[in-house]
Amino acid sequence: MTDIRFVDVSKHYGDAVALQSLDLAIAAGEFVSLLGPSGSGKTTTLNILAGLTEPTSGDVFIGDRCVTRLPPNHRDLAMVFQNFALYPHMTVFENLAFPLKARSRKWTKERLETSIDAVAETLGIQALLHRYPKELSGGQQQRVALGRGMVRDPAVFLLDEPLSNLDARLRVRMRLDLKALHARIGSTIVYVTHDQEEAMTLSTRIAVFDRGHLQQFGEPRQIYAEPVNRFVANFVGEREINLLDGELRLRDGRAVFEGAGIALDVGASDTVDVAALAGACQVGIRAEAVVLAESETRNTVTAKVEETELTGSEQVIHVRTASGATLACRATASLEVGRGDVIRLALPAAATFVFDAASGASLRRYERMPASSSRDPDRVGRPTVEAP
Amino acid sequence: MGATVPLAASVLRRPRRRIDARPYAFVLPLILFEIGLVLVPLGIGFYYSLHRVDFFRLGDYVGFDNFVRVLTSPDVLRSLAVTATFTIWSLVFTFAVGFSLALYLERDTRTNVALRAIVLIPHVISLLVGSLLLRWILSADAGVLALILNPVGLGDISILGDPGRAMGALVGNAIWRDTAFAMILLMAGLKGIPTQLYAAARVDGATAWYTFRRITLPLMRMPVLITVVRLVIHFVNVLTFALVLTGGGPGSATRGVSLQLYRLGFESYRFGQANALAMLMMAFNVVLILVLVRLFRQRGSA
Amino acid sequence: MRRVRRRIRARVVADAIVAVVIGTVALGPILFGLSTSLKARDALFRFPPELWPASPTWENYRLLFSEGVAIPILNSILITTVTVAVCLAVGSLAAYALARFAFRLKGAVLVLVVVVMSIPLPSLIVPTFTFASQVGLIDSRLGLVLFYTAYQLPLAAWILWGFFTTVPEQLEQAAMIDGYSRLAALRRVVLPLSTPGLVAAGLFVLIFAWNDFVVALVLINSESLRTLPVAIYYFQGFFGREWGPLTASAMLSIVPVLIVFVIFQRHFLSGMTAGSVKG
Repeated sequence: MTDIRFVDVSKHYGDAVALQSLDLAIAAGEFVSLLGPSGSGKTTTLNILAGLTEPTSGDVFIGDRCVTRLPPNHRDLAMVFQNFALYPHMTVFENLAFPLKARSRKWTKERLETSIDAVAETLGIQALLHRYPKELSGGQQQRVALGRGMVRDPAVFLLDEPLSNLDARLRVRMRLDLKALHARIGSTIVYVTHDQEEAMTLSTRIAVFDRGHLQQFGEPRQIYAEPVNRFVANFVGEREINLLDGELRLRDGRAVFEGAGIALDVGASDTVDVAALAGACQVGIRAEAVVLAESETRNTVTAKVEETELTGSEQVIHVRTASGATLACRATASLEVGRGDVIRLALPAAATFVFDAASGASLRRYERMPASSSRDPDRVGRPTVEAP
Repeated sequence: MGATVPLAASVLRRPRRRIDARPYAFVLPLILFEIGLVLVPLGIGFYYSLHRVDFFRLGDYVGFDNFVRVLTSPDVLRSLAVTATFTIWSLVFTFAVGFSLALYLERDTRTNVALRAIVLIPHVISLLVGSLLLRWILSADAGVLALILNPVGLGDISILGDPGRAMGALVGNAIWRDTAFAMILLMAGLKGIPTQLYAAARVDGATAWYTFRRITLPLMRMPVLITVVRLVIHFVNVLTFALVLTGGGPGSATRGVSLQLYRLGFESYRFGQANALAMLMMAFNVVLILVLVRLFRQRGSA
Repeated sequence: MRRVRRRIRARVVADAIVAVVIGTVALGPILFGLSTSLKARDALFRFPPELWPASPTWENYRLLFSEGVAIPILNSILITTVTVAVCLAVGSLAAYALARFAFRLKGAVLVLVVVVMSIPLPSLIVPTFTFASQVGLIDSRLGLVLFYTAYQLPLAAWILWGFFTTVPEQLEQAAMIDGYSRLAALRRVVLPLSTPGLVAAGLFVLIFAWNDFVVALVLINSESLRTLPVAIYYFQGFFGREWGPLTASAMLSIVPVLIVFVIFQRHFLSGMTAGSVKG
């Protein structure tokens, strides 16, 4: 079983920073997504791991071997490209045979057929073996691309946004197929995507990137519920989070947020690092965490409904408070609210995020420290600061 | 008048299908030019090839007599052999050097772009001027050859005076001028191969040579064929190289079909035979052109 | 690390050698011609030949002009200009039809274009001369323009067709709703947006008309109507072994082409591949 380690890997193109000081350890057999917007460094990371790009500094280890300077064909990995990169002049069978024949001439016809038939069966493409790529649908091409990777039984499987060229419904189906595939073949999988839903459903752990820096590396649940900064909180999750600006104070052993005409209890004082706050504070809460309040308890606000968005069985209610703050709230579709209605919303303390308004860093102290990319021991648990 | 047409009657009147005359009007000038100045002359040429022509006067109808004369003329037959030799050597070298340059200069670096332009310069100047300059360099008067060959002890040889070497000079002229042509066409083909295929091949473990053999070459089949056909058409027909560089000499060692045709028409003034030979050459060209059209069509559908 | 550096250095050296070889082979004859054209008569046959004249002189060029080389130059300029203008005008019309309309004969027109583009000129000179002598187009600059246009129209139309298809049709539709005819829309909307295409097509026609030798050789007899390449050809007989003026005349033909080429490089490549990329 092979694990993967990045040690202080950076990639610069002249003055432009594609990747900066990446420390990342991926355990054997994991399914790790590299998640982030375009230009965040996730594809660069994958290419460095594949050997298609050399890092400016730092080292990459696959298993015990330092592969930093090794060309791709010596790294025992397979890669599936975004546009599948199937050889158009070869049949599916020949495409699958290419990686085998490229490395050794000693493949007899029988041995080739056995290996390839096995892979074709796993992926359900036996019927397509004698067709050409242009005769196949997107999903079929996708599976052939996967098959070409699988024939070599690699220790590590790299996928570069493989589902982004498929239509929405197909994408959802292929996700399940990929998950099943991972369970079956057990290789370590590194998966690049900008789609946070994909990353959340497929991965054992997610590495979130922004502008060349690793922001957070952890299990999906962790990334979702314990974001290390505002960027991660915003990027993961179906929509942007609600943000309120204000000040943070300590009162009777509780951390209290005051701003935008709202007073919120955001938790016991030892769950928030108030001392680290330099100036203004931002509190964030996901739309799905905002609920309709029964009574006027702690952490409720009254606001007027501005707009509702119906999305099938649910709706998103957009409200504006008297002081002008806007919030979005997820509720069931059956709830009947209309524009102009005044409703009361509750913002549970446990679901709130507390950010430094300037840097975006989270001020929460979580029970389990999220594994971040920082090498400074004092900063373990501290998020990487957003670049100005 | 205001009378309303009954519904049934108005439905019965079917709308007339109007053929849009505009596209035809727009392409008409071009068609007229081609018909009038290319196809009609070919027709006239064919007509003349079937008659005896005294200098410029049209004589009697002689059927395919001119064709027979041309095809049995030792001069013409020798010129066909000369053309074949020239074409094969020029094709091989121009293609090889052109392909090598296309591969070598494929990436769009600043130096490569500049080098491509430099390679192209011999191609964009007039064929006449190119051959003239080469003749100057190869002439004994220039002393350039002597400069290069004296140290090696070969200073006494003359290029243009020896049949074999004159052919070599002719082929050299072709390579000098037309390598750029091959390079451009082949480079366009190379650029048509998606770069991700190369990345995939690298990850799949293929060496550079294996990738070239199993990915680049197969995907270059069409550009290669098109380039070869166009080069052959060019080399078989080119006149200026022989006319200016060697004059067809020494003797008739470098007199190809085109030069033979030129002499037949404009030095011997035998227009019946000249047109016959021109028709034969045109037939050969048309075959190659039809192959080219077919290749173009295939490429379009790929 | 050292091995990598050595490998890179070796590669740079190899690249430099190749670049020098390419430059020397490609440009050598032209540069040597240039240097010869600037040599005085007595310096010409010196051995070993000087790469560059110690005392360059314009006397060869002066000699050419006193021998009346201005006339062929003017002829060439005139014929070239008119040919380019006609080709772009007629070519634009045809290209527009190909780009915007679907009509029954479209396939046939395209085949005609490809076929004529591919016909090699030397195979046409005898029938063309035969025809021209019957209709009085021998020894006529008009005749030359007409034939040049016929030979280059397909290529011009082809290149322009490629560029016109990249202009979004909605702009012309907007113009037509505003009251312009198709022709006016072509003139006011499509052409201004296709400048690179016009330049590319114009360049190819220009280079062809300026450089052509075989067609002009055959169709022009009188000395005063000769184009520059033909004049240079006959200079061989006139100047004999006086390579000074001969190379100078060659330079007169080359320099305009080189200037145009250097300025418009990018457009060249787009036009040259036009024939092989489009299906």
